[in-house]
Amino acid sequence: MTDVCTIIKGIHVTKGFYPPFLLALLVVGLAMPVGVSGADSMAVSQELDVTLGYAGRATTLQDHRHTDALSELNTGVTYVVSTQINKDLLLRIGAEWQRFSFWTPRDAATPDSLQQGNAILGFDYQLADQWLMRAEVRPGLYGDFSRINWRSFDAPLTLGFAYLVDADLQWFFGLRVDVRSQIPVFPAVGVRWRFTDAWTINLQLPEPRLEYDVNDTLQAYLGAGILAGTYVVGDHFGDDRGLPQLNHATVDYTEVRLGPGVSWKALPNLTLEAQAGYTLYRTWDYFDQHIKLSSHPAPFLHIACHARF
Amino acid sequence: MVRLVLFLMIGVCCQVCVTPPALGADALTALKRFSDFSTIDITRLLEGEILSQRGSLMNFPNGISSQFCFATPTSPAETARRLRKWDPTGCTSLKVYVSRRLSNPCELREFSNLSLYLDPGHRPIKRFFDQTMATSAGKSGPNLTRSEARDLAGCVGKDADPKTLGACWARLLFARASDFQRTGFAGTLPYESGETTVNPSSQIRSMLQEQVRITREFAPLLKRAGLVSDGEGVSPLRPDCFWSLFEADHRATLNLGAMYELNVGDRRQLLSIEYYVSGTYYASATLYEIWPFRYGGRTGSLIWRGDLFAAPQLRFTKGIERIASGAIMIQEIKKEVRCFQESLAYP
Repeated sequence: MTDVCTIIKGIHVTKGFYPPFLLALLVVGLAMPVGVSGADSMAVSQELDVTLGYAGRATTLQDHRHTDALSELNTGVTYVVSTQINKDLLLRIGAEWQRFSFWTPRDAATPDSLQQGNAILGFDYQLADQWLMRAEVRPGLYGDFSRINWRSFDAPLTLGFAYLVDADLQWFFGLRVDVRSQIPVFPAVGVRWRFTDAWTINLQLPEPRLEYDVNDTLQAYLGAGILAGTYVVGDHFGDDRGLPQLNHATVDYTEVRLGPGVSWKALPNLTLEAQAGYTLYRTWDYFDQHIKLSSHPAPFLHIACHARF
Repeated sequence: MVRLVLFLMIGVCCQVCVTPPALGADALTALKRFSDFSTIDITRLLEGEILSQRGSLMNFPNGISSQFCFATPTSPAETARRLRKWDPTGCTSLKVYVSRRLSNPCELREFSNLSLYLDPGHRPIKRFFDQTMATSAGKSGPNLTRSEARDLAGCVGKDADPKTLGACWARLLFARASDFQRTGFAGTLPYESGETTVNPSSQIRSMLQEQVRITREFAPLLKRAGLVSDGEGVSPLRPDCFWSLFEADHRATLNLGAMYELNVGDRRQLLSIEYYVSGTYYASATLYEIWPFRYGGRTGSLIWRGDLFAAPQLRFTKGIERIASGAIMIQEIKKEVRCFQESLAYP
């Protein structure tokens, strides 16, 4: 667990948490039961996910015209406490911070950074013998954080349903609702199917994978990753770039990457991951203003740490 | 459809032979008294449905439980007899390679055909091979004592031949089964392969302690099986012992088990215990209570089944993953119950 804390601390020092995230973290901390034991301790679970990714330099295009080149660093920390309310209902409270940093010329229409600092409020519920559901709302600030105001506030909602056929086959149905996005309602269907003793096809968004169990603790996979979000840029974002129509514009950011990776269960409750490959698709879509930027493919490296305790 | 016809035919035959009491308040009241089922729809059970309830969280962190209720067209005595002699290898979805009953006292030769099922070309078996080959005096993948690990490592050596490996495991299983037949749960050897020493009997006792209503309902059976401490002075039950090789979480697993039966008035109670499991989990206990029923011209048995599993991974499985584990466990056990129900169609 020390490693996890060190990683978090490292991000804290180098990137800096924003006040909403700290506030949300404080709320989560206060919500956590203290001094519990036995079934009570089993009734409370904590999830910590830390991710760090780098995408190499790639040419960006605006309306098919070359504008410049940029590279990207993305970081994320998600912490959720889940408390069992009754046999079938779990309450989820947490906080999340995610940041995309783009090293780009000052006058480019791509933002220097896109960030989100949000709370996580939701629940898990067993609807029936084979049906589980998760509802989660993530209220918080989504923007370039050049200046924080009410326009940055958003609260996307995620609804997910799992149908458990047996130990080897599960179906997933999901819905993401974000009224500020160009696609306000985004449905998805997924499946996890262990079709042989070693191979599993795990088509769950946002990280569909074909997995191979090397041994009890090591898994190799070929996987895609989708990073997406809707953000609001600053009041003078457009002025600085000679595109005043982009002042406080809404941008849909989408990134799709593909590559092989490995997942190592270092401890029963700690998994470390590393993935490399190509970011195949990246767009910054100011859909209100009909300005869309995209980038050529670029190599990426991604590491992650998932702890459950 | 075939099942339904057979069910009806057997039901009619049984009705001609015996006239059991109607399913009234007694069985349902008893069932509600100790189980998690607050309502029982007998018509759903007669249609072949298996009712299930996921157990609540336990204080014991390695434990998980579930309960089932189902019906069979056979009498309680016949249902209990069929449960005791049921061979799960006939149902391929259960992935049981071999299951053998043991004589009492058992003999080494009763384990001798184990090597026939150890095909290293089959990945779950290969994983079992790898685990065994990696076992040394100081390190063991399978659930073993240090002494067993040392003996197994010495016996197998560097020879990954299925015959050698099968013979080594046969000796180990024979020793454990003989100990159990001589001394019961008191003689169950611990697992010393992990960071902490685990005794499978203690794991089962810890889980049972939390199921107060169930333990009370099954007190005579549990006492006579030797699982609860205040069983002194009662005549011990003689169990049917068995060993199996099966797949658990896509790896071949060996177990040793015992099944006890007790008549309590017109009811039958059964207890099936896995007092040794080579990996994936530590131990399990399955309890059955069987009542006769007569309903709408049909006769048969109403069966309550409770399952308790102790597994190391459960300590780290919390939140929605824990709920999902319970839900999946229910689906897997339902497969087994369905196979058993279907097996009743054959003599």
